[in-house]
Amino acid sequence: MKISARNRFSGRVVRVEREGVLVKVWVAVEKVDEVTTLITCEAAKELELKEGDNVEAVFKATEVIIVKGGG
Amino acid sequence: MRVKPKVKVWLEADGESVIGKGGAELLKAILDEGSLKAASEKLGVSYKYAWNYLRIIEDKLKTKVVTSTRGGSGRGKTVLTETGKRLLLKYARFSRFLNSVLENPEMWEACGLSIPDKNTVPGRVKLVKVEGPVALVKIEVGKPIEIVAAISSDSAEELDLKLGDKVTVIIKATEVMINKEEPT
Repeated sequence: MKISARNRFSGRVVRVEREGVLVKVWVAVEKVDEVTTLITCEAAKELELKEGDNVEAVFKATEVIIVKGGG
Repeated sequence: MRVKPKVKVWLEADGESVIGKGGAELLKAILDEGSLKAASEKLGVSYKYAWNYLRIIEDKLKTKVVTSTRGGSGRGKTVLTETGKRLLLKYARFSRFLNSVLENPEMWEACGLSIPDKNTVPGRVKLVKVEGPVALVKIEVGKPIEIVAAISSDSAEELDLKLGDKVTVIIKATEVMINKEEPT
């Protein structure tokens, strides 16, 4: 499957935590630290997400916010 | 360690503090209890301390915030004057508003200061390409990893984004999708 999203980071699921109807997933991405994502429980179930899974964190360029000054 | 911003609210008159949290608590206790003695007991301070506190407020405002009457059986009553009530109300309103702002993540987001469930990554601008209303920005967040951001040209101009600039990239957690490869 081809995806248009400009940002794709391969990583490993290090933590999965249910928060109401959402599931918070921590993906460890090499050289970037961790990327967290909130997905629906349904999605997590469908993907059978669990710790140790190799996944890709994907997001569109239009969803990126830039703050100048860094830190 | 997680740190959180807090605000302290106080009201000033002619550049001098009139009431802050402590003063507002005292006025509220007087309003609830109807007596300075009961109010000071409720707050766990001495009657003298509470009395002095009120005098300081009144000195600064140059007007009374409470009126006291002596009860026949020696039980004095203290109630807030209109000024006292207004002062308390004003403090409560400001305090409530400012605290609600602090607790409101959307407010922080609007200021670009903080976003809950966010991913912040420091990086360096590698490319700024402005084309019409949209600017494409590439940020290196760790060799050779780059994040691509499409922001409005206005934003890019406002931030004065240039090659090599140190920036922080924020990606809202709700905007990140997970792609899990099928086992092969």
